[in-house]
Amino acid sequence: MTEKTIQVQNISGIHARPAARFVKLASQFQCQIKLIKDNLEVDGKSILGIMSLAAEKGSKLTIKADGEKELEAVEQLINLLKNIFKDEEKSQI
Amino acid sequence: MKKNPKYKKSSEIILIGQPISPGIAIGKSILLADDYIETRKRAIHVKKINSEIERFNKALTETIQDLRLIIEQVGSRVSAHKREIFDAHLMILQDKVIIEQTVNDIRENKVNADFAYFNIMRSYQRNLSASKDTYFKERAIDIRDIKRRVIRKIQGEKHAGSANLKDKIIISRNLNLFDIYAIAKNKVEGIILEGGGRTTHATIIIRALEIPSVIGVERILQNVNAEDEVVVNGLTGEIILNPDSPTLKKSITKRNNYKKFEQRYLGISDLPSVSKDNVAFEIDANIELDDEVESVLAHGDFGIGLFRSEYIFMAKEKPPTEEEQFVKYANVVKRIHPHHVSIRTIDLGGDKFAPFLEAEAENNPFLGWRAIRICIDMPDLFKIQLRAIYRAGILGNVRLLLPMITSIEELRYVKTLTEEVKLDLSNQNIEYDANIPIGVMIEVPSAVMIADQLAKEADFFSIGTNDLVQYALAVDRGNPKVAYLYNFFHPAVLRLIEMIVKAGNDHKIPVSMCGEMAGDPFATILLFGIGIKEFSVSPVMMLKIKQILRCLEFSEAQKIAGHCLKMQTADEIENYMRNVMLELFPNMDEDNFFPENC
Repeated sequence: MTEKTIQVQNISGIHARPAARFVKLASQFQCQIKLIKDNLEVDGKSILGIMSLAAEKGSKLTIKADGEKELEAVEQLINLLKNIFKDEEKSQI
Repeated sequence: MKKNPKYKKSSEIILIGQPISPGIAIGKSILLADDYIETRKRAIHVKKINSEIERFNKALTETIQDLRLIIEQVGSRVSAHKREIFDAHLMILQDKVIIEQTVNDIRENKVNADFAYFNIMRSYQRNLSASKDTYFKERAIDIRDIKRRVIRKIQGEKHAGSANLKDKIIISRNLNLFDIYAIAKNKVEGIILEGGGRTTHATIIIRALEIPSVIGVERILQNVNAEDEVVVNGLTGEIILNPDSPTLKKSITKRNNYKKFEQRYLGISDLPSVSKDNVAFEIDANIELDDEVESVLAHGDFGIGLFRSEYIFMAKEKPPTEEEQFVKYANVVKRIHPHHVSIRTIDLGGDKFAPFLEAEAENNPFLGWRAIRICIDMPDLFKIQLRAIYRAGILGNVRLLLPMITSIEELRYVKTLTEEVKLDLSNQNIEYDANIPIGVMIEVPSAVMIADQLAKEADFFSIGTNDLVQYALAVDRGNPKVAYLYNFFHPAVLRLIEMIVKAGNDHKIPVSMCGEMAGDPFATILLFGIGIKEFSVSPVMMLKIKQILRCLEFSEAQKIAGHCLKMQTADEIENYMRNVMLELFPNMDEDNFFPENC
């Protein structure tokens, strides 16, 4: 099992669009992917699950993967979130 | 006994609400059932499990098809932000994890599909409703709507979507996303809502669909039955239930004229804004939300004379951040460029509330803690707004407008704050427009009395007639016992306006008017004659005011105004202006007309 934690940095948090991008990437992996905020754990391949975390700016998200290519999955998903935070800052202007 | 028709009592009922989408609609009412669903747990026989799953899948597929249709029909007419929400709804319907959980629940626990889906969706919905963030809270409502829609499909639909809405006047407490779908598909005539706010998704989409609509109509559901004849006036907010035949006839003429006139008005949108004797004037729009830019641009190339920024703050648990505000101002400023956008700083208090202010109850809220007084009291909150406005300045032509100024010290103090904000932005290497004009709302009699002094230090004036009339005549028009005293044709009001214009002219600063008086066709000529050259009005009134002024000579307007200023009562002035208008434009009707003779 691999896990990594990241802090949400964009203003509007993990709203619909970031959640959609996350699910698309997560679904490409065979392994089980979980997303955890505080004591809530949801399936990383469910857009509704991710949205229901209501992860606002400043909150801490943990990605947990278990199974085939779990290292690669966590690394790619963390990078995706970092890119999302950067893109969102840009698109505000 | 034979009934004598002469004694037949008219059952006509007139109600008033807030108009949100212009036009006149006449039709039979249809009441949408209150949005309520019931799911009961039922045991499903092992042999029927597969067909239960099949029922669930079919309901999902149909809902997805419905939603795709909405996106097709309204997608191009709403902002990218709204489209994104639709797309997210689609993804929620297609969420593999949710589908899997539901199917497993049906299979393992042998329960009915609607019950299984209801419970699973509700758990996600609850997480979101518990969030403090408004965006996530709103998504809980979306999830509820999606849940209800799918369940209705599973149960065999008996509600809005299946009813024939064509040519009907829809009456409901509120509309959800899927009611909107049915409305978009069916060519509905008009919409009346008992509840509703201007900022909900539903109202924004109704405006985009151009369906005459009125919201916030109290007691409508108590008074109306299915298949009643109803007239909806989306210009004035008036609703007529069961009109008698003369009223109905009049309404039909109004409706037909409105459609005819709309076409002709769009034809003048590109013509220059000058009177017959070539005196230039300017028409601007009043807006409350950044989304309304679309409806301004739909009428032509106009500026914004009043952006009521407090609507970004209202009903919020915490004030919007600098970035959130910046995005909204920037959106408007960019779209309206090269025309100006006057952003009025937060005008809360009085009758406009925001939970985060934690305002205490007051005996006289309109004389109390409101508008610029709150801003001066809470400089940290105010400076965040100023930063967002100064940053948006580089994207176009921004003017800063301060509400409810009563003394020159207030103007001076705000100017020191703007200098501090500019210095901070420079130190942080953040780009901003250093030369944003700073204007003052003239809406309190004391500001009128010192207008000559304010004019030396302000870059422009904007007359807010709603408050000015209330303060000058000491009338609360919300109180029905004294509301009749509220009349902007009162000679005192005209003299106040004359003083403001004179102070502006003497110091060569522009004077605009943005209150309701500016958008009243019967006052237009009078105001122009007194010397108002900038009229900021609701988007639906822009072309009407423009066309009235195009059909007239400024010198003639001056004569008319001169005459009015000598009269002694409001009634005398108002009647005189009505006669002037009817003489100039014989085809005129109260709500709508097209000035012909120019």
